[in-house]
Amino acid sequence: MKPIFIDSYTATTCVGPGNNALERALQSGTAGLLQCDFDTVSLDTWIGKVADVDSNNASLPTDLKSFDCRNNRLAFLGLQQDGFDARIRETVRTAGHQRVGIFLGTSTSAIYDTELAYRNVDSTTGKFSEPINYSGSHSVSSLCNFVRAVYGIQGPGFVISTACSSSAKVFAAAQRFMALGLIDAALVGGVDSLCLTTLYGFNSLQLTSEMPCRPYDQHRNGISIGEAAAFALLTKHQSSDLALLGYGESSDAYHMSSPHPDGLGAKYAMELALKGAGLVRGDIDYINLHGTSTPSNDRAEGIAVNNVFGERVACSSTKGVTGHTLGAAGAVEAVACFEALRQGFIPGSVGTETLDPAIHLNYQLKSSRAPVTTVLSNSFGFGGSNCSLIFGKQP
Amino acid sequence: MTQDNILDIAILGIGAVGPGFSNWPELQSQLKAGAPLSLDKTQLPSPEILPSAERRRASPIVKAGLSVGLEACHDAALDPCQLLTVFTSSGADGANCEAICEQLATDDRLISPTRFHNSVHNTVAGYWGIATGCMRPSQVISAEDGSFAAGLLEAAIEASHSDEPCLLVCYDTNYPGALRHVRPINDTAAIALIVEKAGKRKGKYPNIQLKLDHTATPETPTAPIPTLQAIPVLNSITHTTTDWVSIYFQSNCALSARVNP
Repeated sequence: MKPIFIDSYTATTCVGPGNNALERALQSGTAGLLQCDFDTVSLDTWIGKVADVDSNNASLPTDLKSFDCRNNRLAFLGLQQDGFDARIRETVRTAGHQRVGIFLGTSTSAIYDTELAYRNVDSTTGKFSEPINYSGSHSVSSLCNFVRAVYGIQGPGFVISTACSSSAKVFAAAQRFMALGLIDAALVGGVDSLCLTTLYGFNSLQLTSEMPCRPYDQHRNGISIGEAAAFALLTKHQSSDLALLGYGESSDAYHMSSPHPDGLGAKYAMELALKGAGLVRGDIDYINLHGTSTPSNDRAEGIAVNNVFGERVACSSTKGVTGHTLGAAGAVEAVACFEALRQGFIPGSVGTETLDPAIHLNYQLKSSRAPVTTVLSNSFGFGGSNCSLIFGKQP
Repeated sequence: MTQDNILDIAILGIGAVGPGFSNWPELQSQLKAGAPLSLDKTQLPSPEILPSAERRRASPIVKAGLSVGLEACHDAALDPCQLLTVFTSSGADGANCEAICEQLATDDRLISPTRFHNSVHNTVAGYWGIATGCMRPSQVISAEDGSFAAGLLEAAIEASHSDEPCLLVCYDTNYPGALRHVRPINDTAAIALIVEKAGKRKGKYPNIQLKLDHTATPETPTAPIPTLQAIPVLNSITHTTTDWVSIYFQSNCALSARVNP
């Protein structure tokens, strides 16, 4: 495929708002996880919480109050970092409102605010005691409705919600719309915020760990759920030295909540990404693994990566730093890749101590300086939804 | 893509289930007769294609989505295992969502694993893969009341971009609890279309054209079930209407469709 360009990008995660916070944490090997203190949740697990969401910095302007919910406050906080807000406004002005598309990934969107509303249902009428705005602050689409309203974007857009691959797939959707000439630029990204549904839900599947997550560790036993907002502005014309070079998408067709044991769907996604980019496995300098730290994910992904790449390519999961940000993970890890490309380093794997001897990869425990020109990032989700992205530095 | 950003699309197969119609031929005969939408309760089929364990857990929305997807594949004589797919829904499984929220508001928050994995927006896509064995790319999207328009556009783009047929499955179901007061959807409906770039083969339906329309005033975005925003497009196909009809996509942007004159 013809490359599309990353004009600008930003990520806000539990290590702090903005790209610098993420880049420093990745290079220094610092985790942003803490023992779960979210809402009234009483689970023995660790989370990656964005502290600033609950401060005034994230409160929405008066004219956007109809979109108020914790997830949109996190989105708004994220959009204010790294000069990203100004770049979007400039692009909407120069390209035109109707020529900018918007594709955002989320798994749970505003469900936390719906959970809160359910604590106040009138038992006689069966209605919420306080009126709620479904479209603005409860629906799965509220994230896209909100960001369109912030920038007056009138181009085509929607939310992609394929669990933990959501905000990787937005890059692919934007590329197709650009290739067919419907848009010239796209705001893509992912926002997912902490909620009881995912904390108790992953706990019910015995997929959360009572320790900070340990991707690819011999003793890994589950994820640490995180929250994040990450965005990129994509353009058809060359606007920077970073580009999306290829993508691959596939379905496991296996199980709703377990990956294919041999990582077959993951393997297809990586092979399709290489093919789309016109690259071979030797061209990839670094793989940002999905690496959730569950026994089954890391085993299956390890087999798939080994099948496609052998044991040569440096790889790691960065979820020990950010936690698993679910529907935002694809976009967060795209930003981790952009920083690796721009700053010239291979991220290590925070939390991992003893590598699983049954997995045969060139897995990086510590960050190291290295020239990096082409990277692949994996994102896999419930329902067997897989997406691999290839990004590279362009001359 | 031709000039003015018009997408030329062939319709290879259609499937439908909803209030007063249990398949596409039934809906088509109502459209031919110009009958108003029925108020009968939607009769949901049981998808025999699912393995028994999954069938037991299948919610109304999974039954509806799978049955219309298979009907469209049968109509088009295409193997579901090979097809690109786009799944689109305003809010996916409303009953499951509310059951989780209700339980999380009590002291017993230990929700069931099945409830949790059925809570993802892409549940129908997951079951579709398990049922058909299809490992092809699959998109799962939402644009609230514009979800059908968003899905039709995305499927047309996928088909044009890949030069392959793409199956679109659109579905919605009601919220049974407190959310029904703020999001009144009265029943379950699902519509499936298989689209392909026009001109590759002679289809059984007329080719249609699609365009984004920033000036059109679409029909009201409040159909009793958002999926039924598809009806004006299906009506055009049934009556070979070459005038543009606009359906709600998002604020300031409709999707317009017509049979290619």
